[in-house]
Amino acid sequence: MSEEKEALKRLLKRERKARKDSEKILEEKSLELYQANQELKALYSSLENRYQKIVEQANDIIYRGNESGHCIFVNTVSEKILGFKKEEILGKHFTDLVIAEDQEEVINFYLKQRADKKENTYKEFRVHNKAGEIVWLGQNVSLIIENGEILGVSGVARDITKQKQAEIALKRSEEKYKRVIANMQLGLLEVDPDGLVVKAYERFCEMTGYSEKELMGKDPSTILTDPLSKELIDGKHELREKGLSDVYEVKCKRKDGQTIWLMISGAPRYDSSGNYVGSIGIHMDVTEQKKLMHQLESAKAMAEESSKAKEDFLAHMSHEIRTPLNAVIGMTHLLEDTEISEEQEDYLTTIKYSSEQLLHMVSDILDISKIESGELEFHHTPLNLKELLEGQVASYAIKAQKKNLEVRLDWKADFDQIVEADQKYLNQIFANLLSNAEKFTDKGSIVVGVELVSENEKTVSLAFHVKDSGIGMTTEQCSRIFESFQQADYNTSVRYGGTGLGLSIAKHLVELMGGNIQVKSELNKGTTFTLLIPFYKSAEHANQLKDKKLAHDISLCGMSVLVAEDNPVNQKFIKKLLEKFKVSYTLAEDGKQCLEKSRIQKFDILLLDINMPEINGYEATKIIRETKNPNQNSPIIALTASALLNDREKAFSVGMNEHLTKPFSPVQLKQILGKYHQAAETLTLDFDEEYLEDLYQGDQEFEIEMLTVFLKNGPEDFENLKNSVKKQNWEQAYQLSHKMKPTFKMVGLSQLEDKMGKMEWMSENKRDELATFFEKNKKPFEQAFEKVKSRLKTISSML
Amino acid sequence: MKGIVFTEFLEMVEDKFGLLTLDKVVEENKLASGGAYTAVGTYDHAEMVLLVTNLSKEVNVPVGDLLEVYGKHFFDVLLQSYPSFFQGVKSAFQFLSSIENHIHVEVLKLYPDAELPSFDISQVDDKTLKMVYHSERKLAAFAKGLIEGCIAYFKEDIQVEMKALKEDHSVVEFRLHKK
Repeated sequence: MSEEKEALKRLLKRERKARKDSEKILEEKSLELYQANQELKALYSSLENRYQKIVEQANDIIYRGNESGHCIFVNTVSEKILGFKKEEILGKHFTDLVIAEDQEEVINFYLKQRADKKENTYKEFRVHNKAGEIVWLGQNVSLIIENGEILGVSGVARDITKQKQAEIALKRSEEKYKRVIANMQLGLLEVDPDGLVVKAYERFCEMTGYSEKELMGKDPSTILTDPLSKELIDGKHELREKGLSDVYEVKCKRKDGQTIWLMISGAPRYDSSGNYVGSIGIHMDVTEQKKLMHQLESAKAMAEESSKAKEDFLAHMSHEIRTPLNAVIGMTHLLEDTEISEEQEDYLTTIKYSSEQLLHMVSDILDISKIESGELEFHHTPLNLKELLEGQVASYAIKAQKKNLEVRLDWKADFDQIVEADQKYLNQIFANLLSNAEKFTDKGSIVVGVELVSENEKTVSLAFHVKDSGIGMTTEQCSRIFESFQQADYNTSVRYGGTGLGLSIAKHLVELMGGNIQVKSELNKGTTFTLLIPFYKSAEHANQLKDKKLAHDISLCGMSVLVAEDNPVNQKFIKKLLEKFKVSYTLAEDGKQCLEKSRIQKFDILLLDINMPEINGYEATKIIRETKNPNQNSPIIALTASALLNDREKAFSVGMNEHLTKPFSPVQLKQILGKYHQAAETLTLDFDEEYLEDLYQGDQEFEIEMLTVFLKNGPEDFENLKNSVKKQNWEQAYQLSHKMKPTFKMVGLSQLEDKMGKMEWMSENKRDELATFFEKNKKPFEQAFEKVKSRLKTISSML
Repeated sequence: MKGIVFTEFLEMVEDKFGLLTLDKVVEENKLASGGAYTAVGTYDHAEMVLLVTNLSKEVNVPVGDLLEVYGKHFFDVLLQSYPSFFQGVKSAFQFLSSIENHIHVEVLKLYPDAELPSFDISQVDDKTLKMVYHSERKLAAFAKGLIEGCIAYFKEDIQVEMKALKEDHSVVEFRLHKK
């Protein structure tokens, strides 16, 4: 037992030691824990300091509220922003500071946040500071929620007073401008990015008759405009989105159905952050202006119409006057060639002079109307200026002889080349100036002086002076003389006659030629007109031009011409002229006859009057050009009494080659005939297959027979003709050519039929020129026999 | 080695072999700790080896058997002290598989200086679990006792085979066969 006691004692000792050991361990552990705790506390407090500092140094009020929203913490910034000390705010509800007007809204806002348990919200509202002034706050509020229960709130409130004031100021200034615009009777309308109305100002409502309520949220283009304008306006939205503004006009319908025109100045709208929020339109009622503009437009159209009517009238009048005048002048020319008494000759001279004067006046009036309507056209040909002026001066010299006036040309220019110019109008300029000078000068001289101003490879500028020693003019009179229908004064027209168009036409023509005209005058001493005109130099030389003229004179004879003219007087005039030129002609009384004759015979040239009964000249030309006939390619000349550009264009468009205005001079007709006669002589020798097909109807045996007969007699007859021309046996020449003429047509060579016809005519009427003509044309006949031979061979081989 | 291993061992010796045997086992050698152990203390594991060797001599039972019995006993101690380790665990395999990644992790939270063995654990098939023991303490028999205790707790019929992979028994393989 004592052994056990001892063992127990030892056990107890061990247990006591173990207890003490464990107590010691626990003490050490607790010390360790204490120290660890101390360290943690130090760490926490340093962190807290750091956060505190951040909170205190912030620019915004940072606060915490308890579950009911009463403040339990707030940083010192509140004092800076609101003037309240920390202690004054703690325990208060933040809504206590909100100004009365905002209070209900703010409380409801935050009640809703709590009800919805929305974690974060932002709200702007006004509070009173300690001094009672209003401060705008922008506040972020976060709910502190744990296990679905709201434990409190934390808030950050920023002072946004300055931004708000700026915003309000901006809005006020906007409103101010809008009011200004409204006072200016301009209607404002604001739409959102979809084009729907967000604000319609009073004046806009007045303009359209709709109330703002009726317009709100609607697309104004659908209400106010038709589909076409809507498209236009929709396009404008795209512009606004791109930040572009513009002004346009739209036709609108008021609520009461009345149509109005609005001028709209549209621009994009942006909010304070620069986001696009739609557009604003400033509307101006331009209905009255539109009406006025419409009236102006119709007035303009009317004016244009009446101007056109005037032009038509002039053209018509010129036609109506020229036709009988043509007859009068033509008949006068013919009468001169008959046997008449001296007394009759005197009357004739007066008739001729008066009708020429009348024609001149009509031409002047037509010219000025052509110039004014811009229809005048220049036709440049190579011409010798010196010769032209010599001719002009000579003709006035004769006229002035009666007054004992000297008229001369003083060519001082070291220049004798050919220039390109419109002969007709250049003549007209000098004729007008010279006749003017001659009219107002009773004694002394009229001198046309010419000086070279400048010259280069291609162009030359010449100064022309037309100087007279006549009655002269005052400076005031000088200033008016170039105006249409103006003369120096009323007495002048009474005393000297004239239309007062000559100088105006001259000035216009000179200017159209690229030059200018000036006048210097001294009363009772004389007048000098100075013209400066630039010309292009011609490639032709003076000698070449002369040769050409001579050639024209010779080659006319033997031509065949078809004349289609219904007016008997004109017929007579042309007939006489053609006889004078020794040109053979066929006459057609109207368009129908013209077509018939042109189908039978080939002519060198066709002269067609435009105004013919049944078929007019244009229609006849069209038919000749479009159907198979010997004259399909023959030159056709239009004869008209109208010189208007339109008529010329129409003539060319239907296929006419040239245009001759009646009354034309013998020289004009001769020039045209000469031009085409030369062209005709270069024709190639071809069988008229179509004619042959018509003639033989595909019967080749018949054709062979005809060709054989032609070759049996033709060459022999031609040889005999040659001899008879040589021996000047005109009778035989006539018989042979008369016999041979139709045979050429039978073998399809109608060109040669014409030529042979000419020889037939010449052997009777123009015997002295027949030999030359024969020599010139014998080659194609000789070729023709060879051609027919080979044709005969070809057809025979096919059978 | 944690004090609890010593205090529980001595309690078991006193319970199973009586006060005098305990006195002899403790007083046989001069121990650095003087044989006074507290669960919260930490002691040299060589003292444990000495205590077990002494007991073996005294009661004439091999050291291995003694350690295995103690292991079984210690499992019960753990079961009572740390019931949370066993919450939701349904089988011995499930518990043993979680030793390394769960139990030992929790032990180290309480006793950061504890020196724990490590186990490589792999499930060979549905019925076989392989556990490879690594420890310089060479107390595989103690581990076997703990495993047996665990099997007994889950009332499963599992046979435990033990095979030393190193002669000094620092690496030992346990193969658990479910029947």
